[in-house]
Amino acid sequence: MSKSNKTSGQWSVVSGQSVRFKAILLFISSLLTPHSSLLTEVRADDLHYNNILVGERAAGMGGAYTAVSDDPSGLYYNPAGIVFAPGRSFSASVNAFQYSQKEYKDVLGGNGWERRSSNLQPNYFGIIQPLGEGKVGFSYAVPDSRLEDQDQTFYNIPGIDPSTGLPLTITRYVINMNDTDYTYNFGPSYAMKINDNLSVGTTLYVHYRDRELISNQLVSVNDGRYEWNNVYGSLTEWGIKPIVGMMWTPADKVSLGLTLSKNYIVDTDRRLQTTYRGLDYGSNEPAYNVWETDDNREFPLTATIGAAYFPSESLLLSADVSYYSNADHTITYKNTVTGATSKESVSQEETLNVAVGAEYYPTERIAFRGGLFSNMANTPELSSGKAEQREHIDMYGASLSITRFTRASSLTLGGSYSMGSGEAQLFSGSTSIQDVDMRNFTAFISAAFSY
Amino acid sequence: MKNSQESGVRSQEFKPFNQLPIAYCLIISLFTIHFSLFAAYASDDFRKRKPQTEETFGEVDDIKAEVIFGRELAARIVGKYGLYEDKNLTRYINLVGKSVSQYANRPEIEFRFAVLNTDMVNAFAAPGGYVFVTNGALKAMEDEAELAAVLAHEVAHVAERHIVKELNIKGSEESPTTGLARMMGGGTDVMRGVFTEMVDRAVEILFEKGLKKQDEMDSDSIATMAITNAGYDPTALKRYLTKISGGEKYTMTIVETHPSFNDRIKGLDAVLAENQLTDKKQSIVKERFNENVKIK
Repeated sequence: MSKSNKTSGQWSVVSGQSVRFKAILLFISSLLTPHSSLLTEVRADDLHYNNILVGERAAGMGGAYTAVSDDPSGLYYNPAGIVFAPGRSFSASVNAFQYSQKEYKDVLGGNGWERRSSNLQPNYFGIIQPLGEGKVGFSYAVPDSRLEDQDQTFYNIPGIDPSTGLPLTITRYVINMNDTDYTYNFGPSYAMKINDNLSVGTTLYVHYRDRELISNQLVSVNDGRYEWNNVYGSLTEWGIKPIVGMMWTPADKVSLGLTLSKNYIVDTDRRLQTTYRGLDYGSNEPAYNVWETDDNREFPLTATIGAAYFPSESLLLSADVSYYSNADHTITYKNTVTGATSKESVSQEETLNVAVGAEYYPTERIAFRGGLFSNMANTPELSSGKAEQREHIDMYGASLSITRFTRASSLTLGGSYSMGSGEAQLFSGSTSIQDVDMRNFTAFISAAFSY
Repeated sequence: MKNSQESGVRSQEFKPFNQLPIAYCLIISLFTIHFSLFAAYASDDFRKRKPQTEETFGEVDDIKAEVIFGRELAARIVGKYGLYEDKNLTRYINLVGKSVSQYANRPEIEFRFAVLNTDMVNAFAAPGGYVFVTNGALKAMEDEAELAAVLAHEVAHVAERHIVKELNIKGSEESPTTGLARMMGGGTDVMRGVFTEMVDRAVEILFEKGLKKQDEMDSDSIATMAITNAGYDPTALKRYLTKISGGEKYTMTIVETHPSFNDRIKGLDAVLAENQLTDKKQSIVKERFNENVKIK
């Protein structure tokens, strides 16, 4: 079932009209469509796997940490590494400010459309303790998050009347939207040495995602008519994410790490409520629809191999390569108002990300870290002549941090920046492709304490 | 509908990791078996970063722990008052101090002596052999015997581990929970919160609370015997305390646990009498003192 079929009553005002006007109104519909795409992609970015660098040292090193992992961040990157954590107990926490910006070019009468998200939150906490022959840990991570609070108004956008084909002007186009989307991982870890050269470890994360979308859009045209759409969407998702890791020392000063992980969603509650009034509704009641599903998403298997070289106590070099398998799923939605059903299939392609990092201690009290990383899209590149293609943006980034060690603790300030350009199809049913630029910036402050 | 065709094709593709639990177990097993065959030749010491290799109490014995702690405390003392920069005077102080420290029965500790740049009349000792006398105290002294007595008193505090015992400073494995080794265990730079707290407590003892009354009395006694053995006038400490007792306002305010000058002088009288030293005539070395101690 296509998007246009499902929304035929709701979006009849835009059907069969000129591409340009249709594009404008379908631009609106693409934002508000009561379809799974609204809640399964684009926002807390399901199209990439490496959106937020987690951890204290790890974030500064571009996330190239699988073969290091000898502090609480290792609970997330490679639990096998925590057996090398110094001291009896070790805790760390990270607070991060994340800013994300995406700009679609030439989509509103020659205007660009910009979407921004920013949020500040504790995005990592981990603690390690000895237990028996190994070490036990508990960690909490926010690997993806978004808080979008948009208030935008566009004026005098040229268009064509969908019913007459005559030119008209959209005098005012108001978009108000609040979208919060957070993914949380939390759970225990255990690691132990097999021998002096090899350790294994596992983390069992509980996956919890909570998203809420409130959107209100109003389109006023120059003949006094208007189109209005109101959307409320929610998504709650529970799952488990086991991480299995190992750390091997093949030679002096060299460490290799390997992790496997996969997210298994076990419970989903997804709901989308829309209220829509078209341009030609006149005095008719707005259309009201509620779409619900409890179908679970499929996540890829992730395999990461890392290597680290410790040439001296002052220098550390590391690199990670992460492979994400393809993952497909089909979600069936049911309209609880009309009884209609709709299916959507989502495919995520095999993806590869690379990260390299370095750490340097000029003194015993200061450490500098830097890293480069990729955040490749899990979607195929867009092809001309096709419609309903998901956007494709390959991103590349860099990170830096500085740590000041004190007698009692260490304090780290750092940030990462990534950017990329790609293509998207904002307009439902259209084969037109828009250029899109994306930028992510994260600033973080973290503290570690050992006792 | 998005990617419906693609997904239909992909759903037929071979997915090697579909049986994930089995894959996990297989990989873990293979790696475990394979790598466990390797001889354990490599140390993980290379993983230690620079701050973690800094000297701490993690893997040291009690004496080294005492020295490390004392070094930190000495730094606090110097930071508070500053050093009196006079190479000749410092050399002289060290010669006198080392002569009396020979009787301290702590050969494992290297005593170091320095002058603090303050007119306050006082002297301090930090565990590990760090001894300070103020230039105010030096001004109040009249001869080398008095200097030796004051230094011997501070050396006695170190030798008897008064602060070490008070704060339970110990090395690694034998330490109780309050021991510094456990607080510092493993040697990371970030393990020192409690260490800092302990140094703070030592500073409080030195500058505010004072040591126990009995510790002071014992040190007076030990110092008197030490300077006597070194050939100095046995009454030098009593003379010095008597002299500065009238100027107590110039010394630090030491509260309830610290004995009064009168108590200490009475205690010294008892020690001298008990050891038949009250009338024993030994060297006071006034000329050399005046030649080397020229505090302006």
